[in-house]
Amino acid sequence: MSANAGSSVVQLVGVSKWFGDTVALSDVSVDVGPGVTGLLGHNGAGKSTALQLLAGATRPSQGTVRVLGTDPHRDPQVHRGLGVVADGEGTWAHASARSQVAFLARQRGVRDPERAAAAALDRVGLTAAADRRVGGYSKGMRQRVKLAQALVHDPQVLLLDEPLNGLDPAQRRADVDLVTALGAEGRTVLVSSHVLAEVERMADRVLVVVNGRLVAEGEPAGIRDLLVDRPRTVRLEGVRVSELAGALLAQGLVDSVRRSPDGPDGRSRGVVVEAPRAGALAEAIPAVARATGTTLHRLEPVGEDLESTFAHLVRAARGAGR
Amino acid sequence: MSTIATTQFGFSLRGILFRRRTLGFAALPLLVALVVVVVLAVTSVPGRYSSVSTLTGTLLTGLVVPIVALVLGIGAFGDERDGRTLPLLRGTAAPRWRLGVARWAAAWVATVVVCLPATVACAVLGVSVNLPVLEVVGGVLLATSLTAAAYCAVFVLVSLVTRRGLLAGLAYVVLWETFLAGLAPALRGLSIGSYGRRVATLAVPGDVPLATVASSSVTTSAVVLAVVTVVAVALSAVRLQRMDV
Repeated sequence: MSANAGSSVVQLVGVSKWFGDTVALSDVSVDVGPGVTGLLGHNGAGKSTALQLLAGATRPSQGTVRVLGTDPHRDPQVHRGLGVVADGEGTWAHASARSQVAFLARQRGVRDPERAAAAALDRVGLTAAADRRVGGYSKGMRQRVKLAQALVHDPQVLLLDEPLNGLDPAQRRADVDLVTALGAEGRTVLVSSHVLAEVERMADRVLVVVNGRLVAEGEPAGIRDLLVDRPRTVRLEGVRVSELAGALLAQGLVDSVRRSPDGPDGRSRGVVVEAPRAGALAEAIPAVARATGTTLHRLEPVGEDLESTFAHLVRAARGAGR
Repeated sequence: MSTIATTQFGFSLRGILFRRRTLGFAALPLLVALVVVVVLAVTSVPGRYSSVSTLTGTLLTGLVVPIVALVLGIGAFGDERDGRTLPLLRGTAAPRWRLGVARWAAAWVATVVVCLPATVACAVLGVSVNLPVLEVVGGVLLATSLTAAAYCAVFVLVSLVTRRGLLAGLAYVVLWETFLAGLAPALRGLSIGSYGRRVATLAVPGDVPLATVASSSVTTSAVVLAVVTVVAVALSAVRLQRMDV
């Protein structure tokens, strides 16, 4: 699988990582080139582990990790071209934003660290507060200090782990623009999130990680179709729902209809339908319900758990030639 | 040392010295200094004689230095691990051994600075009983510096090996250094404090006894402390290179 195929800057080959009995990543191979690539997955899916491996913070249990052609865990020189926003705190509370960003610039061999720090802080919109102790910053401001730390040495590769966490809507917009601009400058940016809408706004391509496995890859619109417009079991409750289900069946929007078992209080719980494409069903229901005179009280997916999502994505990925 | 390493040292030193915890533990040496002031005020010169060995050997070298070194040495990397800044420190192009050396040096200098009131007080006490000024001042300073260097190196290493470094270090200081090493002369050979107290005998020459000192000479003791320091710092550098952060 390759994302932003072309010159490979970031590469995982058959990488697995486990902590005791817990498998965080399982046989992941990915090849990422310049531009913004989104790493999408639920909390605990393995996104942070993948980014930590690429940042050289940890070693793979199995497989090979390459960033800019070298092993990031063994070769410190890789950090000349690598900027990382890691999960968690990652700032020094006792120091000002300017001093800690300049300190890191010096550590990374930047010629004029003060000037580079000022430029990085300006880019993330922290110039006015740059000389205050970071301990007094809001969470959003600390997140921006982390971005400035990652940008100060003008790296070719950026690994951003949930960089929008803790930001207010205005800051999110600004940072989405910033990440997009970084990708447009020709940098290789790998940005993680558990929110598809966020990734869609930043990334040209998306990698989906579920339970430590890379299960899908593609353009954001395609990934949205995979996640949203997939087969689903849906329960319909209300007045004249049988008529509604019949009409949906007649129009080919659902494959089957069955009566839902009554609730514990003896009341009818409507009907359960199997929809091959949940997105199409959702779009059609209002008009069909009006046509059949149905009043819907409840419409809910059934058996909507992580495992079913995972199974679907694995099937879809296999179907796509993985 | 290169600019990168000196910057690392300066940044680390500021971080260690201006922590609330450091300021809190600075009270410990100040307490020793206060005890010295009381001793100077209420006892005659012959009466102070035994106080010199008790305060210099047992209290300063045997308790204050290891406790301060424990807190500052463990914090040199422990706080970076807790604050998730260790990946930033390690994520630079500089060789990782420089980071280990700079952090140890910062913890060491901070420990010596924090212990300075007690060190000066003990030296003043020694001078007040007419012991040779040069030997007293040099001996107390050397004992504090070398003992602090060895303890800091060991605790910096401990902080890289376990996330419960403070607990492990405290158990080591209390159980081993303070209790077990005093039980048998053979065990003193494995106690940093006993070598530190032997170096401190420079400050209290003649017939002033110091409890639980190593049986080696002052020079050998100083060399042992230096070797412990170098080995522990080297192991920290190796650990930094290999560990997951």
